Amino acid sequence: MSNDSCRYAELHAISNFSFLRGASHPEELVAQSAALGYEALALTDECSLAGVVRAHQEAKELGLKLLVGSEFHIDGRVLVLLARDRMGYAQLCTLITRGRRRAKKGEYLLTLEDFETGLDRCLLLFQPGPEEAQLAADMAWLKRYHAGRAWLLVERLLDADDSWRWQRLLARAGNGDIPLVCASAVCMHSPERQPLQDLLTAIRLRTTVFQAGWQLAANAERHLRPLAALAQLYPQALRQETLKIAALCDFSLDELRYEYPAELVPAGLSARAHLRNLVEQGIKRRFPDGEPETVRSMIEHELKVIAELDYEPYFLTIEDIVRFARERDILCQGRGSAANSVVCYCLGITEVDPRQVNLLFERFLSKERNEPPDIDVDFEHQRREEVIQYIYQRYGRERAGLAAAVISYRSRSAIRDVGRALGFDEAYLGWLISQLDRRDTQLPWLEQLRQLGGEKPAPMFRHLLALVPQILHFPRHLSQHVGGFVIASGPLHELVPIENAAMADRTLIQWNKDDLEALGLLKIDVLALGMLSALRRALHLLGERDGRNWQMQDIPREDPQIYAMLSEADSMGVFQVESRAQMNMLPRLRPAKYYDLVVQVAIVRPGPIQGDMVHPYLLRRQGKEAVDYPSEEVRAVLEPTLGVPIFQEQVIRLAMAAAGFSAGEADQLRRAMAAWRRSGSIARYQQKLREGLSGRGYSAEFAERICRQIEGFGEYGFPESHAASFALLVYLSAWLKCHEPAAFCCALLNSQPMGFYSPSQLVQDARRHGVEVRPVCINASHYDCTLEYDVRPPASGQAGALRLGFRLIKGFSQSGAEALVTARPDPGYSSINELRRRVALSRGDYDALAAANALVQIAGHRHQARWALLNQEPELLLDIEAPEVDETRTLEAATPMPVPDECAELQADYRHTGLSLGRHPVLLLREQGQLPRAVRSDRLSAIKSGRPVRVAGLVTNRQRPGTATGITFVTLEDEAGQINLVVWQATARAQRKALLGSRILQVDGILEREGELIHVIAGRLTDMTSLWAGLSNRSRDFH
Amino acid sequence: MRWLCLHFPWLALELHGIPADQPQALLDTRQRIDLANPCAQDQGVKPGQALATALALSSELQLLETPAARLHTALNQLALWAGGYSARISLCPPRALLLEMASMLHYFGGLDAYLRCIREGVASTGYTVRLAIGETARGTELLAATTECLEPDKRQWWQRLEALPIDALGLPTRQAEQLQGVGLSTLGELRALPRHELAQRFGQGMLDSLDRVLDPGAALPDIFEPPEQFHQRIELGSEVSHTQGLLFPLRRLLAMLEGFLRQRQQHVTRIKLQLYPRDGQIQVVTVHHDGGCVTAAQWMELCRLRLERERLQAPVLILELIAEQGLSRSLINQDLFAPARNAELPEQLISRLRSRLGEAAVMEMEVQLDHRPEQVISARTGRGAPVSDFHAARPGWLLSRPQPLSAHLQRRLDWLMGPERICSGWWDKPVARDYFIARWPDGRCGWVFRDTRGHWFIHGWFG
Repeated sequence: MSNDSCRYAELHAISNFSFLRGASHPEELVAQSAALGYEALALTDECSLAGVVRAHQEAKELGLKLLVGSEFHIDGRVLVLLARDRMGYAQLCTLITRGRRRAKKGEYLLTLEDFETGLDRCLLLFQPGPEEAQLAADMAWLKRYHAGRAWLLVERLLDADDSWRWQRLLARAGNGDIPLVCASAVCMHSPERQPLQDLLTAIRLRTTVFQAGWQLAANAERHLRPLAALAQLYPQALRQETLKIAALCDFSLDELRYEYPAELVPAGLSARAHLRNLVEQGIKRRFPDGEPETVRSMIEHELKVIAELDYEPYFLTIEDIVRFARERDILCQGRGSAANSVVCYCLGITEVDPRQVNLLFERFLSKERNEPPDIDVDFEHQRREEVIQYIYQRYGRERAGLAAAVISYRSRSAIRDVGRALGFDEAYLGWLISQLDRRDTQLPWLEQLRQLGGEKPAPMFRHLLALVPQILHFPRHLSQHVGGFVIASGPLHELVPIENAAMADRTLIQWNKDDLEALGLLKIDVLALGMLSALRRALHLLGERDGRNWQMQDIPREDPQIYAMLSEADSMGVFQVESRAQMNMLPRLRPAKYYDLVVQVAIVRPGPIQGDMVHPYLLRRQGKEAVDYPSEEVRAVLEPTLGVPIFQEQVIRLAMAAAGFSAGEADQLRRAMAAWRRSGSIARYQQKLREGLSGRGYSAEFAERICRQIEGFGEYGFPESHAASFALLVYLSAWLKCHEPAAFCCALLNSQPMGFYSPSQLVQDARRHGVEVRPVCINASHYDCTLEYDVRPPASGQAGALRLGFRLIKGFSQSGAEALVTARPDPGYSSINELRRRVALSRGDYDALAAANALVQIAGHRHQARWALLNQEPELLLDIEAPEVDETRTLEAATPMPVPDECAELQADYRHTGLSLGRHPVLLLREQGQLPRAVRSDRLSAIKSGRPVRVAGLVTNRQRPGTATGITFVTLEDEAGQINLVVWQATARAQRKALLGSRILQVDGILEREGELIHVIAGRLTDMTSLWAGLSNRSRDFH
Repeated sequence: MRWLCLHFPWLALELHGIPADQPQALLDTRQRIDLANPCAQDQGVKPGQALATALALSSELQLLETPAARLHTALNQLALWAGGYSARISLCPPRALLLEMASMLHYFGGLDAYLRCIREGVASTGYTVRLAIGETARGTELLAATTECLEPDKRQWWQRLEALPIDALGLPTRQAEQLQGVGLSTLGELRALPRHELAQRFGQGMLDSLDRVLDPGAALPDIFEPPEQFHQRIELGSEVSHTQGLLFPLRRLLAMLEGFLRQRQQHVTRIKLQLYPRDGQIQVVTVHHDGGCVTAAQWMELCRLRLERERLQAPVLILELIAEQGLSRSLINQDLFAPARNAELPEQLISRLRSRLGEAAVMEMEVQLDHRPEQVISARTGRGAPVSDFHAARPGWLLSRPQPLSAHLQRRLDWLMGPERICSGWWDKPVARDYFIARWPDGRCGWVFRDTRGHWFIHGWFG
């Protein structure tokens, strides 16, 4: 402010939220404006407010005045609107919404007419198009509709047209009453971004920088220019005008107030009283014998906190959605800190019994923490859409919207887009990307990319290396968040602009969940979870059998058999703990109670693993290491997990208890953790943690581990409050697997796709657990898999046989299956002709049925059935009225097809249904003597650790987890079960072909055992896939 | 046996001239592996594989484009060459030739001798070949595509044909899948079915394609027609600087010439060798044979002698052979009385120039819409964009190189317009200048700029 005559406010700046136009983050624009001494900055992204919250936060921090606005391009003109106040802001949001809703995703459609009314609380900066005739008309238009609040916008960019434009506007200003104001059409904070800006232009135009020519900017003037440079370009009067405009705008996003929908409260009641009523009703339901004293006092405490924060409508909103789901028989379950409360238990939002997890409730809500309540609700994945439609219908599309997810450049997309715009060919870029190991923590992928360029990279490659990191994290487009709803009391489009999503009939708001959180707006997460679909189906099957309604709460809790089963890693199909990493952990952790499952769910995650917390926890759990606490405060935080921090919440509370963080700082730490990947701003907190911990007598090594753990949480945060809800689903699904394996497997099959394993693996597992599985059959199957009881009505608790459904047949339509079942006569179809007469399926459906061997009962083996059905002779379809004709006539006349042998049957089963009830392929090979000395999976337990061993099986899974550098885990399947292989990096490299190319793999290696865990450390890998082909050819010759 | 099929399995890869001991593959349009050479296959690369998988298996894998035009040329050249071995040749694109051989066996002294000659001939091209002989044209082609088959016994030959998998027919995927689904896997099994049942289910098309393979009386494939003029070239893999190095590729050209002459029943008295360097003058070497001659060996001898006298003016990249004077009565007559040619269209001239001189030698002026003045007009082989209307002042005469402007002169200029800031081209030739229009003391208007170091230059004159 030293030189008063230089003062300036930039009124026209776009950020990278004007996708592929702006070359700076909103925060960068704000920071640079503050550094240059601007009086104010207007962020005016094109028909968008998607970047404004980020700018707002940064401006608040730096004390810069931020104006909220937006620019629009209309037939060569540029219109910049600035909001003067809250009402102007609402007008701007409404206009943007209108423009966006008219066009398809990512575009907008507005005409000058749209600017004629409803914008009286906005200011308009107007830049005319190049046509002279249009200009005269535009001046009249401005005077008519925007007199007193419009300016002609002059922007000197020193390009070829600059002088011409400048002279033209100066001439206009002389005789009109529309004043002039200057700006810089800013699209980058610094001229150093010019290469990136050119590149974005080329990407947008789908060309290269060489070919883009005049479509690129002629120079780098569209940046935030120093005040002295602006003083040379513009007369002082014009710059004064910017200050005048900035002073007219007096609006901050902090003024936005979220108001809850009011209709959930019955007339005459307050929200508080209504919530109290619902909770009291819930208490009667949950505690029919009267609630314990502790529960009552907990409820009173929670209601008091809710009242102090005025959060009643939030809980009522969720209760309303959950109630709808329950009425529709859609299973759901809440999670998150606020969900694990007695209030939510009583409201039916969660099934987690507070008596089992008392400890968690300290975290409920607190005023000091200043965080909005966090409740995510999971619904059955196949029925979540019904819930979403309910929300739209209940509150109207005007008032409910989905939060946006900002899709940003990641390594792969950055290399691809930058590379294309620099003229690299696709195949080369594909090669580059394939060479990067993004999980290698020793050598970051950008460094790997640099090395791929060689010692002396070509000039273009150097540009690639320079530009890829710059474009990283640049937003590319808005997509819909997985289920974050914002529900407002008034029209949502006065709060935030709404635009169309890619999916028809979906709209989303222009802010993501971080933006909402920053402004203190509440969202409700409506998420989809496959396991809930499976649970509901399983409960339904049990209900049918037992003739009563089975619900989640009917499943007995804390059954020791369940924990025994899980401790043996017998967990295929069980929620969350079925992955290979979890299966490896189960026998080590040996869960014995509900809370152990909470730990189990959270421990195999990047946070605890990167913090090296897993091993100490296991040692303490197994009693091999003493449990101690450096102080009483720490004991309070870490006691449930034996002194080892496992959960994200614990680390945050540890920061307060042991490193001297204030509540506010702890909250910032939590936010920084969530945004770690984006901003990398966590370093300063880590430093503070280190200092705080070592100042209080903790070892530097411990502090270091906590810091690494924090980074892990940033990658994939998994708090205790979520683990608690998930653990319940683990228990419930494990109970079903243990006691009702047929119903459980049936439900899983009908809920596909979900989970970690294929239908084939699930069915084999069920058979190993004694479930009788029956094949798909034209006369017995339904679309879904079903349970069959040979005695009717079935006794309670009787195990049914699992009948595979038509849904497993690849290429068979659901409508076809349903038509077939509806038309099926009681004794079943007796022939192909009858089938054809009764139900008209598509040719593809008939063929799929035959191929899946579903017609074996009525048409012979699958080859014969397919041959018969391939014939579409019309006269056969005419004899509808003559059922007495010999139905088998044409079949007998047909040429006999080769009878499929066992091997052909297996192959066809796998191909057409994805699974087979026949003998396992590995068993066939073994019988043929093709796998000499290969040990069966169930006999491995008899072999000593450290001994050489040979195994063979189908490759069902190959993965390289990010947490285990260089190791590939492979799962083999033989006739008796699964075999876990560990392939070290050197082995993998040397035998890449066998590792990546085999479908049947034989492995010579070393058996390694830890407790009940058995691994085979791979030595030599032999691809046996060709044996299978050989087997089928040879056996065919026998016929 | 009536037919011989020459199948060149790796032709599309071998045309790239990369040594066969390096893994190479072609990609299809969906970015999947289309063809992998044996070296790549050894490392596990297979057709149909995703690009990423292939690269994971073979990190040195070279990914090549399908050289569609060159593939076409190469197959045609092979067909020319094959004229020395058969009077009836058919193309089976993209990578096989079919020769009627029955009538040639006597002339060559039996099947073995015939095949030996063929193999020797192919060896000189450097391409890998797989041979099959057979009773039906299409059947022989299918066999050669799968495996080498030189089975002289008819009964056994038919067995081998019938043992071919149904996939070999190249049926639509869906039909192939359906046939497999009823348990049929070989052509023989397909043949054994009642024809009307097959037709009912798959239509007459299926029977037709089966008959083409199995019926010796089926319609024969089209005969390859050699061009009117022999005018062929070979691109040498690298620059050749001694005439000695030209002999090997020349042998291939002469073998083609011989095949061509035999097919057209012509002699030739003069051939012209055109040697193309990277740039500069084409070197022409003419070789005569007074009586006219057909065989490659004779021509080779003459050329060798002729080339020994010749010094290469520059290293050669392309070798071209043109048969100048044919000696065939009918053709000579035609040539003598052919009407005079019409005046050429410019496009024809350009394409003729391009075909003679190479694409790179003929340029068009192009206006490139680049901000950098030096880049606006350039000589390009491609097409430029149309110039749109804009308000910038640009001089009519742009100096080919900016000239420094003396400080003395600079002070005496009359500044009319500016600055126009041009700052662009960071990717190859960066330019950062402020341009002005200034009037000289003598009244001329010049286009002047100042660079980032503050130096002044004159860059053009306004008319």
